[in-house]
Amino acid sequence: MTPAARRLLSRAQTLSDRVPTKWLFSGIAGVALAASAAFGGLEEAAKEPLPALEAGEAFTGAQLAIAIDRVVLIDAFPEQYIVPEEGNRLLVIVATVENVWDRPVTTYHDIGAADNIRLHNVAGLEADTPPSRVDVLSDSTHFSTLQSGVPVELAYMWEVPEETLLGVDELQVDVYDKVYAPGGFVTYGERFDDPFLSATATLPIEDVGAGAGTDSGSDSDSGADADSGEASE
Amino acid sequence: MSPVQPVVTSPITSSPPAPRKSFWQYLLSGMLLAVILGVTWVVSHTSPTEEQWQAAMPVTGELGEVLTGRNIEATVHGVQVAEEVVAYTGWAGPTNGVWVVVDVSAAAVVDDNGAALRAAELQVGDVIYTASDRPDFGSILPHGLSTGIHLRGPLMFEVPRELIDSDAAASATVRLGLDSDTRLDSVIEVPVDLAGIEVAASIETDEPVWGNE
Repeated sequence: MTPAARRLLSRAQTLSDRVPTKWLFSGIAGVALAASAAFGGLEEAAKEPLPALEAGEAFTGAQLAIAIDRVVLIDAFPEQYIVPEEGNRLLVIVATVENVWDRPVTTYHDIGAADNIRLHNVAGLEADTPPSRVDVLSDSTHFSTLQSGVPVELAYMWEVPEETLLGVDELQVDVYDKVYAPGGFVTYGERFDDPFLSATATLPIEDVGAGAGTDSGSDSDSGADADSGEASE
Repeated sequence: MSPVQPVVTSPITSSPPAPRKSFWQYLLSGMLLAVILGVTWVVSHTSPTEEQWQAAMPVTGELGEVLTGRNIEATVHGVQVAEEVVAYTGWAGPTNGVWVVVDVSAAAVVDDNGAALRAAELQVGDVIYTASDRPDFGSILPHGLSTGIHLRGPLMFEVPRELIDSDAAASATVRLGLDSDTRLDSVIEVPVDLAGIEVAASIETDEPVWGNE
């Protein structure tokens, strides 16, 4: 080492002795922050836009694959004893839901597929209102269980005041995904929890009035009317 | 007045120097440590896990065999597969998959208070299917069980069509229990082979019946 280099080193050592340690850490943080400027710094990161689904296009989440097929406004399904309160009608979202997990998934609230679909901004309905019923469309089993790998057409139903959707042609439907939670020390069993918005679908509202076939009285056991009533629109 | 004599003290006070350990003593402690580690390893690798000490107690048998657990006695008589099932109630559930219809008889053994088939599963590979609630009273699922009197009828499982042709289908298991949480109680387990079964277009199932044959 040359004498010049040695002098420089000793001077650097004296200098570093005088610099408080706090400055060192602030300095490192400052450098890191300055470096982050290359990636946008403290600017709000641009959000990835949520996928906008077409009618019938499936969004595959961690637990369920959900395709919103139709949005139907109907007076009631009297043959399935689904009659809303006076002044209300039923807003029905028909969705094809497939369980992509390896365990059965219920359609109940808070633990099942009822959490995965919500209406976006419907007047007279609080945000995040769960569906009043989730039925299998073909036989109107309510809050049934979805089996792995078998897509099922479900009817998610909300009671809405008659006047709210008058003159509204389109409705945005929010599709949620959930986070996997393994069984832990306190809780037992794996589950999916914490729904978060992951896709949207904007569909036209079909208003079928009282619904065709509601007064035919046939097939009341199988509940096929729920299907044919909407399909014949 | 005597001159002050400096007192010379050894930096190491009083205690005599420790005797040197012999090679054999080192070897002994080393081996002792190895033994303790070995025993710890064995204990930690053989002690039952939470999963194991809370596990269900399976009672395994063949098709047609009467299997008895703590408070459940059941027989799996047979298995059919069909694209459509018509229950005696008139229910005919369309499905995007196929129906595995399992003919089961079941009874409680010591106490029928609240006894029902709350666990009715079909396991194929790592995937578990539960008996469908869609047939409602067309299957024996919603019926309660009685002590000593068998209820015989179908359980319908909705499964994907490709499952029947998969390799895992040859070693499926029907599992029956009294609680959907099967831990720490008897479960009846019957291996079934779904691979060899022909898929019928439609089958009709009978009304569940009470009584021992």
